[in-house]
Amino acid sequence: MKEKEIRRLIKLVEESGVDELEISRWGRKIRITKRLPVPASQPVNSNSVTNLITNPSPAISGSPVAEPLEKQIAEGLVEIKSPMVGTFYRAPAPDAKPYVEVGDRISVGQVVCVIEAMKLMNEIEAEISGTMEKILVENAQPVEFGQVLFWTRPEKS
Amino acid sequence: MSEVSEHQDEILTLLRQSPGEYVSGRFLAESLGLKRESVYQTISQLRQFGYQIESDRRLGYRYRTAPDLMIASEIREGLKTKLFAKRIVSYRTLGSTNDVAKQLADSGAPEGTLIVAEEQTKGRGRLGRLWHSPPKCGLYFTLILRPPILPAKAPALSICAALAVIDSLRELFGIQVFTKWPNDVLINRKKVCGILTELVTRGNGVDSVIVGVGMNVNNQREDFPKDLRKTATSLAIELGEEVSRLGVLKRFLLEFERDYLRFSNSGLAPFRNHYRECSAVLGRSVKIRCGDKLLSGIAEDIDEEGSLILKKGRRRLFLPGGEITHFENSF
Repeated sequence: MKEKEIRRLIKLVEESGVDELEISRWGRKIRITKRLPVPASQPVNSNSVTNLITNPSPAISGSPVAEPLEKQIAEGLVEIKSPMVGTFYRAPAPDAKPYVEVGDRISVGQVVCVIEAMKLMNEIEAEISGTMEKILVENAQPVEFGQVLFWTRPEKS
Repeated sequence: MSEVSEHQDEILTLLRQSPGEYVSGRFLAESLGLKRESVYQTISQLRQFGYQIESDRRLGYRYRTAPDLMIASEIREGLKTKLFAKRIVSYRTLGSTNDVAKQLADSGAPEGTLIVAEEQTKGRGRLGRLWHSPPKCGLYFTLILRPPILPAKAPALSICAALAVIDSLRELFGIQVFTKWPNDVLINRKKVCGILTELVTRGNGVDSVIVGVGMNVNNQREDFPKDLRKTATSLAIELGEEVSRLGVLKRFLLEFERDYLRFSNSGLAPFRNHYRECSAVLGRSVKIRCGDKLLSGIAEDIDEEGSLILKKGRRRLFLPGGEITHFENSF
């Protein structure tokens, strides 16, 4: 992380109502803590803060890191996100067939990828039935908590 | 068969109540409401299992020893856990204990359920690798856990499991056992135990964590395929004698239950110092494969989530996953 970026984050924490901000991107972690209590009247710029947090506490886990994706949402697409930091695998083994390809039909409970952290494997399942529209991460790449992995198109019922 | 029947279990219980002494066939028959003949048959079946039971025409039967087999009643015998292995599912041969555990967890098996096999035909490692699981040599088992934690916190459980293996082996045998991040267990730089953990989420929470353990216990050198001999070892090879697999399993269940309850309440923090002490790699220069990248640096520490802190010059990387392919021999 560059000094300029850290300065920007410190400023952000200073101006906001949060006392502590921790950001972990793959391989890097920074925590900024405020010592002085902030007056309650100070406006809280919660959007810009939570959008930077990649490992949020349960209270704010509803605000993932994602670029604006109004287009996909407008089209009725449903995202599949990573529940933890780890490595994304598209297949159960290096020489095996991927769990899913773009255009494949998917159904509820079907495994679409594996996220691994510390030799804990987490098979991610589709929560809807429909079609795989887009795979956003390449095999064996690091992923963040809350990162969008797939866009899926639910079938019309 | 890997389970003793109800009659067999009852007879074992009665015999064990009088250690070193004879119990008459008549007493056994009357206590259990069986014919003398079926008592005799049941004793014969137990002997076929490997139980050593002496008989004397006048005095009756005397219990000597149990076989070192993964029989549910033998695992239960003297086991002091409160949560783990209250339900035991044992198999003589099985594809993979983790696969069965996932099915059982999915159909609602209670926390602490233990799945154990004498032999695995498709014992699994990470990324589709196999864990060599020949019969009667090793321990192959899986625990179903349902911790009240967030999915993001679950990976550190695999570190706790490794520490419980290390503590069990150190206390039972007084040997030098270390861990290679995240959770390989090594003796003399060779792997003696591997742990493959699987997380099943439901909504935003944890449904179950499946902790699979493969341990080389009584394997001799020639029991390992040639390509594993340089990197794998067993307790028997390192100790120079065979040991009780049941003894190791029971000790681990007790240690891991204690650690697991502590972890569920307090996370990894109470274990970090101990992990540092048990680590074969911290403080040393390592090469590590992360996804498709190969990194090198000094393995400095683990953080409160269990991630490896890799020091590269003045930079520090926090790695949630990866495989250490090489580490320095000494400082």
